[in-house]
Amino acid sequence: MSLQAQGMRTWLLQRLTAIYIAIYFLSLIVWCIFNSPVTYNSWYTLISQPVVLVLTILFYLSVLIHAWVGMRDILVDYAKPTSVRFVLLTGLAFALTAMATWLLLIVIGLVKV
Amino acid sequence: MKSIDKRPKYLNLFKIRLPITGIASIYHRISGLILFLSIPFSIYLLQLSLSSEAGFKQALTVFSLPWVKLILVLFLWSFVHHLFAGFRFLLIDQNIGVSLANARMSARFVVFAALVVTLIISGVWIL
Repeated sequence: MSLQAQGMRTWLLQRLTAIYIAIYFLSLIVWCIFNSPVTYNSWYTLISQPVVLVLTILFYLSVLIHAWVGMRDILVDYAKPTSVRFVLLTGLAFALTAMATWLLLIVIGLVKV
Repeated sequence: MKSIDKRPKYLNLFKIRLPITGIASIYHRISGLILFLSIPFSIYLLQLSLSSEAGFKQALTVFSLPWVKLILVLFLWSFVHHLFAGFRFLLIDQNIGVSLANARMSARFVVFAALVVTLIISGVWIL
């Protein structure tokens, strides 16, 4: 199967993002368990580290891509006629991009120059 | 295209009996939809928890509201089921457990384990 094929690329993207999401989220849970009770200081110190910030951006990027592929699957299956599907897909893309921007603004606020 | 198919459609959702593999699959879809809806809440809570000491406390107290707990249990089930069912799909992609008997067994395991883990975590941390 060629990676040039549109569906193959999407299929692979969905799996790679899934694996990254699982690893990041489970790592965060393990960190919370080992650092319990989590305080504002320990939480802020963890997230504002440059490496963790980048990993967190990648996490949300993965989530948003994963959500795009999954929600698109749902809409393609159930949203009919095509005009309705088009509007919903556009709304979905808008919502996901808005959420990515929102997250970016939060992260920028955490970067110390 | 004009349909000449006169067979009756039988789509009463309460009468359709999905096989266990179908149940694991449709739950994967439903949990995915719920997780999609949880994304903005997670970003909001991240923002609140990092804003200040008071914001962090506020983010924690949100979790102690009864109706939030109920939603949290739903999000928790969605996450656990989506994770387990997703892992099952990854194994099937690798040709592991593809036979009907194995697929049924793993589907039953995923649906059951997700419920049990959700109940345990809910009991310990949420309720």
